[in-house]
Amino acid sequence: MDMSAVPATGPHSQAARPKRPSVVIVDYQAGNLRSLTAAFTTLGAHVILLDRPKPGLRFDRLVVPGVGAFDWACQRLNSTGLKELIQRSVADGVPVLGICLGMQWLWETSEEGREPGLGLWPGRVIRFRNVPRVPHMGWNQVEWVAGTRRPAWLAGFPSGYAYFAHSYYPEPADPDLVWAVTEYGPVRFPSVVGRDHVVGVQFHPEKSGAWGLAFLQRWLEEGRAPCITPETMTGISATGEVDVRSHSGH
Amino acid sequence: MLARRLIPCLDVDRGAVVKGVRFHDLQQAGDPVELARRYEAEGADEVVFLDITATTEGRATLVRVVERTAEVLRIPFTVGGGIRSVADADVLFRAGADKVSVNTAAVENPRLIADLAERYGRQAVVVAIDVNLEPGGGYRVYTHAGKRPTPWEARAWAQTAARMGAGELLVTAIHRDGTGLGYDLDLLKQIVEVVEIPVIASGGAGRPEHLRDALLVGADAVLLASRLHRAQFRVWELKQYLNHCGIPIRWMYGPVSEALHD
Repeated sequence: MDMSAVPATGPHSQAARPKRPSVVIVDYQAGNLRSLTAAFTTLGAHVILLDRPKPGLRFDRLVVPGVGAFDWACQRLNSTGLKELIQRSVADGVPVLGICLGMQWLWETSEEGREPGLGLWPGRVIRFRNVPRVPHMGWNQVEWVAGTRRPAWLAGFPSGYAYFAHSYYPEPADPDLVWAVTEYGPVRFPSVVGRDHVVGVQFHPEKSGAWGLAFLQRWLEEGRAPCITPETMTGISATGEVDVRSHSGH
Repeated sequence: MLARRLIPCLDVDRGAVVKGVRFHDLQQAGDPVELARRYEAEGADEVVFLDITATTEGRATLVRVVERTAEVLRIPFTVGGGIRSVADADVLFRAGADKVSVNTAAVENPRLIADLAERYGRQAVVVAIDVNLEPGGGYRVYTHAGKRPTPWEARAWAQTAARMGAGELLVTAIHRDGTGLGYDLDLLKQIVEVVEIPVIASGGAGRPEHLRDALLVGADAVLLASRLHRAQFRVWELKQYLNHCGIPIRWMYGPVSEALHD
């Protein structure tokens, strides 16, 4: 296993931020990464698609995208060495973003497949039950949970409509992992989860219009230092936006 | 709450939109990418490209359109028309399509639906069903652009397609298409009752009330085809109307995405 494709910096690195952050998008060969690539490029990032770890590559951030089916993704991530690259990035404090299936893979197990997930977070991914229709398909509201420990880069970011296309969602064993929720029928499921420098979203930010693009921009610009700021929040305001007091370090 | 969707459909022939053009101020009125961007800015929730190109060279042009669309569109888009195999779909997914829509090939080989779902996930697989109300009554499935009858009754095929792994059904009432008389609400009711996947209504919309009626009988989305393109309804106006009717729709975050289109 070649592990030389190491992240350029860790959370405590004093290295200056490059003008164009380089973003690795893990490519497990299951479809459409063009939109995601285009979204990051639009935001000024340098995108590197990796279908296997590349020796000596330096990068600032890593994205596990959300395309394809669970077992296919697991098998590809395992057989290509990309799993180890992701684990190494997490361990080194590199900001990691998991999208849809890429987020679901970070948990222990999924009802969608037989393969185990990465097991970074305690919990499992389960199928929607007792909802109007499956897949949950279309635009739905992402609402920040009051009192959660979200990183500074998300402070003040408004609730909004995001595009979803999924039949499964995570059921965390630790409720502190849930940063935002979305309601579908009787189910309220986590739509943004995270801990420290690893964040996962159930929606597709690259397909969520201006709101989604703004989310990615925040992640690119502010997510560099994995500082966790306890928020003194008063909850979700009448407008659906998060009511947050001023933050140090933001 | 999950919003109901408005989805403009653009018929594309050899890389150009062939009907329903209504943005006369555009430099290239027939450019599907330009039109898709305009619809996005107006508040469309998704866009469908229906390729009606017959020639092989034309297909290559479509792939280029899909690539250009994926570069600039920040809402999902589906590509349908002439997809006969996983290999056909793979070209479009790689070019940047979020979903593919299959019709005739799925009826001839339902296993195609399962193969696509296994590889790309069922959320990426739309099965388009063209239905005609037969003279003697009953809803029959047609293929080959609505020209050839099949043995399938609409509900039975809808259930089969869903069981094989379809993520959505795009149900077009042939007998209403282009009439402006409204969607076939009876057909939609029958389909939404027998499947648990989302259903997109298509065929017959001519007035905003028709969109409302389809959504109220249980459709998850409405396709806005040529007749509505030509009419003087803008997407955001239609959404405003639906919102007024109490139907959940998406409002865009911040100023209309001008920033995306500078």
